[in-house]
Amino acid sequence: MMTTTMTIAASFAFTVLVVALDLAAIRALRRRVRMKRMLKA
Amino acid sequence: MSILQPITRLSSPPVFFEASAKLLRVTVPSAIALCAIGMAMALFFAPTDVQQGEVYRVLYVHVPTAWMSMLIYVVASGYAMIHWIYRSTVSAVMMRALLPTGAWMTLAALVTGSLWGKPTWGTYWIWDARLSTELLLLFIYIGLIALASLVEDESKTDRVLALFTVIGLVNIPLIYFSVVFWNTLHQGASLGAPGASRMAGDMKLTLLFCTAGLWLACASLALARARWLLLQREEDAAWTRKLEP
Repeated sequence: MMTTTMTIAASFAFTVLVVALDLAAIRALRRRVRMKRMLKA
Repeated sequence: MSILQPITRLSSPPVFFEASAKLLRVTVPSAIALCAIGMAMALFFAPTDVQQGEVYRVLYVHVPTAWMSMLIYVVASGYAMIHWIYRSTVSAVMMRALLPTGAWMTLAALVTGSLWGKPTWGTYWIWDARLSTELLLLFIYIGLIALASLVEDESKTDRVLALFTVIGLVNIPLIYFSVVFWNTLHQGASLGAPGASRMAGDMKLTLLFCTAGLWLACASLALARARWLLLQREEDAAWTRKLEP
């Protein structure tokens, strides 16, 4: 069973992870768009 | 000049592209600052709950993520309606940009709620009305994201995506009022609604900081995604050719 500290830490860490994953997806999209534009130029 | 003109001007892709860059320069640092302050307040400033003890601090991430999961869907539906009426490219792009962020927030609300459920309810999951309707929201988001990426030429699926997004809106009041309509294990509304629990002032203030920070973070993520989606879609337009690659 998780302790109280672990429960709080896991909740906060998961929320930060979720934001980081969304940001990583946007950066991947930016890389794709930039690459396509550079190849076209 | 119409008072709506500054808003309608934003439906022009180059105007939106430039305005969103300026907006991001404000929202990103504000989001980082408010999230940091909110997190510090949640962990060190907010008082201990008289009934639940320290574990209630999960509320400071669970409630804002749950609110964002619903708010983002409502805003995406707003853009879907605007797109259905005016067929503007920017509204379609904003609708698409909001969906992944909304899905992530729904997942975060479900996981943090589940982590909070174990020490307080004795279980990670129960098929309760609030939890089930929130899970349904995650499935709606996933379905819409799948629909959004079905066809390579995204503009071909905009109208059908807008229609299904608006249909899915029916789930939002079901989530919000599920704790009122049915007898559920989930506690009542945290703030605002009739019969909402009375929170201590320090707890409310902390929740306000956490919510404002996450709201700005979500807005920044959606705006940043929208800019690149717009650039991708408008790759042959004259205004994008003037930009640096």
